[in-house]
Amino acid sequence: MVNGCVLAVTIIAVLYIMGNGLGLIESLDFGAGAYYYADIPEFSKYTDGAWYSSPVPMWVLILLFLIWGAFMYRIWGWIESKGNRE
Amino acid sequence: MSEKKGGLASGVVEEVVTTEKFQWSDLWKKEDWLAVWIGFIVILIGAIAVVTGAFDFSAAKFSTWGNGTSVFEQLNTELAGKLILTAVVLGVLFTVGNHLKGISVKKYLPAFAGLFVLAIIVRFISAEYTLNRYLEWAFFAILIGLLVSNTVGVPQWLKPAVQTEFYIKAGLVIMGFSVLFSNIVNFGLYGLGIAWIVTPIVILFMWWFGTRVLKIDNKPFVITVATATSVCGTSAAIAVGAASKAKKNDLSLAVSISIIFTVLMMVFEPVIIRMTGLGEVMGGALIGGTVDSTGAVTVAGTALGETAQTVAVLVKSIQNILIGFIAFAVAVFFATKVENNGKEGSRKIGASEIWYRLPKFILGFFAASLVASFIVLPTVGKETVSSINKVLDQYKNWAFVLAFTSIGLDTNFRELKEQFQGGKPLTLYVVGQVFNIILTFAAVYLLLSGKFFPLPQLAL
Repeated sequence: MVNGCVLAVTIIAVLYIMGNGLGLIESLDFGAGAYYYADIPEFSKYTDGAWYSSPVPMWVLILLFLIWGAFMYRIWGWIESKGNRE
Repeated sequence: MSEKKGGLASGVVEEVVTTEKFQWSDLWKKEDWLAVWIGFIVILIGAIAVVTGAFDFSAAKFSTWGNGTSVFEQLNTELAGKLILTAVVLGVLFTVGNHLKGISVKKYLPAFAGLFVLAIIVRFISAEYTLNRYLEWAFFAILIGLLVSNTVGVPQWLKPAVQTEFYIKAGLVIMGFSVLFSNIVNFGLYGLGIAWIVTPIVILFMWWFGTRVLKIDNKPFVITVATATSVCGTSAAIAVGAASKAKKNDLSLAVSISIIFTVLMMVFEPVIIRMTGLGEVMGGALIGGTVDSTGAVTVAGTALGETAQTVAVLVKSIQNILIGFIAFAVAVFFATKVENNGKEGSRKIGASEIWYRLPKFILGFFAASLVASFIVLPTVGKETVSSINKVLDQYKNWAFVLAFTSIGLDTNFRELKEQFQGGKPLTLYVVGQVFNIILTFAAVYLLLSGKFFPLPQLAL
């Protein structure tokens, strides 16, 4: 019942937003359906590294990335095996 | 020897290789490998076309119409030519792939033509001014497929082309090229902290909440919704849905929920952020870390200001590189822990068996990402890689439109209703998204409020 109400309110809200053009930016010829390079003009300007210069070298970031990923994977395995035991 | 899980109710990946003996013929007979070849052929041709400038390989794209722009303005010979090119490229590649899989070319070719016409209708409708700004084409692809299958029915001659898995796998390999791992440095430790510390925690929370609290038995569905919520919506759902062998209905429901809620978040999140006085840097980072689709992130960030737009997209671009790693981790996890537990009493499985159970197209996706990031990018530069990705992204979109239209054609409304399980998927998404927002806010506050760490120096 609660879920049904949430869904109904959400859909009504979305239709209202679409019907009234809320949240749009006039200068942008795209919206939520735009995909990276194909649909967002000059998308590459955001990813060309010009906005921020990282004082931390890439290999350190990659190392941290992998360590955290491996740690999270172990936790996931632990959650799964604990759930299966229960 | 391989084990087939046939029927429409089977997973996104219908065939699981269980043999421990590698056969070379797998490379040109198995769908996973064929998808990898198709993906790499498109990438190679796209790269050659852009680098040499010898020919135009761009796929068709409809311009926005409506709101004062006539629908007929774009209907010209150039669009027709590109539509023919797109149909020929994808038609030839998928027909050869199907021939190698043992499917009759005579039956597949007309079926592909029919499906491609439906895909054109989908992309044409989704280019309408309002629809284009709020909803993704995946939504209309499912809708049109559903309309056909639940009204006039899917004609027998069209059925050979309804191959969701094949199109998804090939599209994912193409997408891999746009997932540039080098983006990890774009916002340094700030970006890593917001995008990478938070995302796996949200996934694990949603996994625990979905499987233990809501007691949803369908684990591929739970992980598909979890990654759609925490990573980047439709793209992540497609990659992880395929890696976990989610059912077609799982994928369509996860994507639909994500698309609908993205509209709300795109509109309301900037308003709430402005009301709280959070500021552009923190607000942009919060948007980048929580709004599902990249397009919506850009729009919502722009609503706050130029700085917010840049920070939002920087954080999102780091989240996007997670797709490959998360899909790979999910594939290994399901091969070793989930499938193994259900079937074989949790016995420890060896590396060779993991290899055989692993969906191979994930390797293609991953390989394309690594090749683009560490070989092509340093060789030809960012500008050229962007131009290549502009071409490839369209082919990926067309492959995914074929896939989602196939899902719609393969689904009936009753199945979708059953899939809703009394609203559990909605609860999973909403609770997960709230958790995502709270945790991302905590990370943003910690890293970007200036109270704990120095503020980043952005070149704006």
